[in-house]
Amino acid sequence: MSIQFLNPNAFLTRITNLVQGSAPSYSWCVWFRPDQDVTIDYQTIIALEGATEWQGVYSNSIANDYSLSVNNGGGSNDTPTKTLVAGKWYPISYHKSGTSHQYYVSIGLVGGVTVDMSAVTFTGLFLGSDGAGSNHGTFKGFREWTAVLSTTEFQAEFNSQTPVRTSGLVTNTPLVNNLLDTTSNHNDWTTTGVVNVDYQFISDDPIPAGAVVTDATDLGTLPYSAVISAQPTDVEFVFNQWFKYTAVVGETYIGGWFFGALTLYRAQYSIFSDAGVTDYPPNNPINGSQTINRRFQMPVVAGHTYYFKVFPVVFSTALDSGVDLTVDFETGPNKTVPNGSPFINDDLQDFFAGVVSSIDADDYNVLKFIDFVPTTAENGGDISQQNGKILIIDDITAKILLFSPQLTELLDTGIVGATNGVIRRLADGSAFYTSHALTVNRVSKDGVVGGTTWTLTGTRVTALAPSNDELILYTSVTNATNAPVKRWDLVNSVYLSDLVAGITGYFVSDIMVLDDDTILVLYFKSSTTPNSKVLHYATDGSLLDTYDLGNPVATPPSSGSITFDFTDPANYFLARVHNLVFDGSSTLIRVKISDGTTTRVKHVVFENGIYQAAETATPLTKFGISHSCPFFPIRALVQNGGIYKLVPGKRNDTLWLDITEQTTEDVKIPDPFIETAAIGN
Amino acid sequence: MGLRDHQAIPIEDFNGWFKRGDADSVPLDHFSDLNNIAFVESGFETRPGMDTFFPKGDVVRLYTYTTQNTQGLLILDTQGSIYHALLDGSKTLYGPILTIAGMTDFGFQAFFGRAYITPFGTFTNDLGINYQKGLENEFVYVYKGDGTNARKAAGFPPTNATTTANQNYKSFNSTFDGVVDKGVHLVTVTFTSGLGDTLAIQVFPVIYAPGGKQIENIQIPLGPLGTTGRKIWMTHAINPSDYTSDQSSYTYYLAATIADNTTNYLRINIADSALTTPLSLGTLPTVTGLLAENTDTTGFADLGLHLIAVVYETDTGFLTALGPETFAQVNVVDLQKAIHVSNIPVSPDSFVTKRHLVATKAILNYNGDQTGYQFFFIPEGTLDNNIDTELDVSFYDADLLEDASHLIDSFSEIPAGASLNSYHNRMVLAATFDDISIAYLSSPGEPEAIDQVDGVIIFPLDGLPITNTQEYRDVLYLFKKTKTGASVDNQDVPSTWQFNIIDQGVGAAPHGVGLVLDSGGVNIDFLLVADLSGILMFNGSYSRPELTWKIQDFWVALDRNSFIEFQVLNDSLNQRIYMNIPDLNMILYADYRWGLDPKNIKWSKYTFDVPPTSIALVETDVLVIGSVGNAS
Repeated sequence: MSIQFLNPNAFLTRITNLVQGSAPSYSWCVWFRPDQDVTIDYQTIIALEGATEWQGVYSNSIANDYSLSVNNGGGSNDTPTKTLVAGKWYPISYHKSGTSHQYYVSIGLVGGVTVDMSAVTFTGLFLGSDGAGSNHGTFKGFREWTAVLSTTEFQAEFNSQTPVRTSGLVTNTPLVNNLLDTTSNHNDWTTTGVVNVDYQFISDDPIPAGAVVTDATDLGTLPYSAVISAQPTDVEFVFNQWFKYTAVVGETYIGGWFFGALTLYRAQYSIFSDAGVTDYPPNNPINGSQTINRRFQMPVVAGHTYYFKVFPVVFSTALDSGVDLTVDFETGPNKTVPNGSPFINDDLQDFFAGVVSSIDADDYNVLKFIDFVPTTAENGGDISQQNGKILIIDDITAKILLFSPQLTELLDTGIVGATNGVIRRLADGSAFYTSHALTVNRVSKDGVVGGTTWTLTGTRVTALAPSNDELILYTSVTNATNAPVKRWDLVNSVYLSDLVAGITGYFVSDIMVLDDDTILVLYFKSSTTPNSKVLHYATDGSLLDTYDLGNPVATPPSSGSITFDFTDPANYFLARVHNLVFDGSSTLIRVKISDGTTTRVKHVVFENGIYQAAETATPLTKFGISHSCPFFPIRALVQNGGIYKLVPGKRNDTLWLDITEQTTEDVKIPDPFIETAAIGN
Repeated sequence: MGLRDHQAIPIEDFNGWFKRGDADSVPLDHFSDLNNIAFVESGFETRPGMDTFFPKGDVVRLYTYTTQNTQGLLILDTQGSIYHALLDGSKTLYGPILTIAGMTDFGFQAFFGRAYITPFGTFTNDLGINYQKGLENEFVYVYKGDGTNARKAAGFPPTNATTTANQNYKSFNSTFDGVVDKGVHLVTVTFTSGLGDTLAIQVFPVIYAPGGKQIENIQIPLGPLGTTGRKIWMTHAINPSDYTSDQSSYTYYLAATIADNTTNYLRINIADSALTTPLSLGTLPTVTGLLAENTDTTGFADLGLHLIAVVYETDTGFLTALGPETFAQVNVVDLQKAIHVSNIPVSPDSFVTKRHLVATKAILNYNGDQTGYQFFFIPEGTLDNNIDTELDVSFYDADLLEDASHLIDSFSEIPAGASLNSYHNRMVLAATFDDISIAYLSSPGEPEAIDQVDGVIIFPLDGLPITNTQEYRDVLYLFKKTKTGASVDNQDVPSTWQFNIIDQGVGAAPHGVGLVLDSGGVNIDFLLVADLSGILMFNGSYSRPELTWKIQDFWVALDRNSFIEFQVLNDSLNQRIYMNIPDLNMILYADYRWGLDPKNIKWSKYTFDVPPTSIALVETDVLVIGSVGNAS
């Protein structure tokens, strides 16, 4: 809705509560559409006027060239002109800061003048004309403030049917069906004393559907994929586009994408858990320039409605010919998770851990997302292959927690967890070793903390792995290049001789002891010639083999990590590295120890829920995993539980893998064992 | 020769897990810790493997449910839906037969092949302590086992098809002395308006006046808009021998005038000599209320005023309360004639299969309180359908033997509770949302017929709900969290039974009374009761020490709020005990082949990749385990 003046001499005025020239800060904005070409000089569209003083926008020639004019009685000062095309809507705005006056059309600065108006007393505010011109035009939403609004704030105002900024708001006259001011200031427009008040309210509205949050486009049910017109063609302005989605039962994670174009209309967006007020996710909101044209993924709660505000990072008149916005939403994957699928935690609160395919070359295939604790430390978690239980650092509580094979929390070990802590299991999975700074503990596979706490010397533990007889702890405590692999005597709590000296330029990123007592060490070099490699040592430090993992990016988000293979940990190990040209992906590598042959699976990294690969119209994938978190292969996940029976004589457990598909998976009976007490006497 | 001169200690028996006190107090023939160990003679082995059994996921609670022909499972899932799985090899899964938002658990009791289900939930008090009671505004349901949806147990009584206004009028002899002539009088009412006097009722009350008394008129009909007054008309005294059932054959005279449209009670005292202004009857109105009237049809009935009402019978045999809102009244004046009952309500519920007429014996001095009299089922007074609306009945008062009065206070909808069981063929329901310390008992053999007044037992109030009930050796035991009480059937209504506290230190969890095999019952000469202190044997009193004495440290470390999740099963055939502990992905397992006592019982842990949220025994002794999926 808007107000259209039918008579060239028609106008509205107000003579009370005027913001005088003495006000140091002043802004106004209004939608304006010239309905015909200007044919007479000096056509005012909005002005504050005194006896001889004048402050407003007008056309000073027989053309549609409008400029801001400011006159304190000493002569007018005009900005450059802006040509307004008849029939097209324009958002026009103005602000004054001290003596500086700025004039904007479509949020773009047309020009400014410097005039001291502090002594000026205005006697009237005019809209549509000042009674001395001939101007056919249509207006909508005049608002004024005793404040200096920024272009960002004007942008928000033109995207909203109601004022966004309320502080300093003096007047808000929507002009959709009356002349009234919605604030308590009663700054209503009046027709008193006006010779001709020939106007009408019409349905034309410059603000299109979806531009305001209350009119957000409902995405309905997922998947949703559409290309929509993000811009009406008769408005020289780029609007916000609002969307909303209500998660359905069974849905815990969704992914989405807003893509405009790679040059004009690069689509940036913000996500809210309500109608545009509260950023979402709460701890690590998805917004900012990193979102531009990139996919996102995020957790959802069934029944809750989420809002998405999309806006361009480019303002261009070229956009008034209309632009397309690609919108693509999908429910997060919830596929079967067979034995050995790599589990990658997320380092940021709010975001879920991902389980990915381990099949060679099955790139970018995320199987499932799981609500899990966040862990930053790249080797801050591990799994016992004996019972499938997972010991991991929870960054939120700074605790080390034990989880079941089905990823439900079992217990808090009571050990403090650090964001750079390390957890490494014994090769046989009977226990874990953990570190916090230089403090090391042993935790049984069932979460029982051992009686001894070792305090090492050095900077901090960056990697550790116990020998299979638990007499020696291989570790790196330097947190710098050239760090040696040290040996700590777990019985006598002293350092033994180094296993191997440091390698120039390389960090020690991770250590594993295989069940044959040999040691794998992941080295990482961050430089102009970056490199990741795993060196295989015998217990005497002699080099058995070298596995070059390739050249990662020089300053990657993480230095990679290694872990035990699921099916054949004696002959294989797993590694994760980032790629040389950081294209936002990482690679999981399965290395055969005997000959170094590898199989590889690539995954796109989503950090803070946002696709990290290059901005593109053809993203590699819709979902991904975090980049700097512990990873390890897990047991099969049971999709929906099920009903089982005990069968005498059966020597393994069979789980429903996907009850809908009635697929099953055999797993080992968890860890049958007995333990006798230590008798002291 | 032992190692380095240590003497070998032969251990001939492995007696399982011992988790009590320090590790060095573990007896030599026990293990300080173990996992997934089952016991064989003098030894141990890995527990039996787990196999898939039935493809139904997200299981919260399982019960073995046996119908007339087939064993099955009732399964509650995480969506609050209950399914019925047939274990006949067909893998048939009925349902959901019932879905209730917020149902996180349910109680179950089978009667006559039907399943009675009560949805309940867990609530938390200000101290953070969880407790269970029936869901608010929810009810007990009945499921027939045939795949059709469960429906609310019990049922609503008959009701009038339309408004009850103007269908309540009754006229009868007063106890006050007066001048009404002896004989039969018929009474009617008219509305006075601009249209003149129009009849207000369809069947006119018949009064057999003793002479020298007045006539009471209650619930005098109110007229429609425009009514300015009402008039009461009556016949002169009719010799009973001359009485016919055709009410239009008599002349009615003005007996009283009511000059408003609000007064609904009037006692009239008028002699025949004053009945002089006749009424032109006009058209009889049609009403929908239950009507009873004398007929000229040959039959029999005792003279006097009788009230007649209707009872519905459902397909599960439940007899509803009496209805409709206003019972019919008939004053029998010819003991050789039948009574015609019309406008018999038809139930909107398809599960109503029969309707029964019930009647009082002749009432000497009626006081207007229609529920203040004893009702009986009328012999031959049953309509074996839910269609017909009329029936002629004949009965002598002496024929009225089967009492129906107890139905007046029956629940039409039985509020949901947290415990459902049986005792002396009665259904026992306890811990409803509003009354956590009350147990309701049904009439014997009628599980849905629960008298709200007489069918209650009150466990002394202490702020905690009843958690469980159990029949054992002819005694009904009731449990709270840490208390046990008992009550015994005295052949009268339950509210008269004496209640005694048995133990003020031991109680039971909601699923903590061990079920035996797949019977759905618990009796095997003793009960196994899971209490906060351990699993105890109960045979009228609790045996100490508890069976879990060896693993007391483990037991007392269990989260007390999680006891709701534990189910205890007693495989008496193989002499094993199972108790699921979902939070630990564990089933606590005991083998008592060597003795069911704290010393000889052998404890072990069975752990799984999935949390055993619920367990049940089927096919006599096969342990089935329900589970939910992984976190996601």
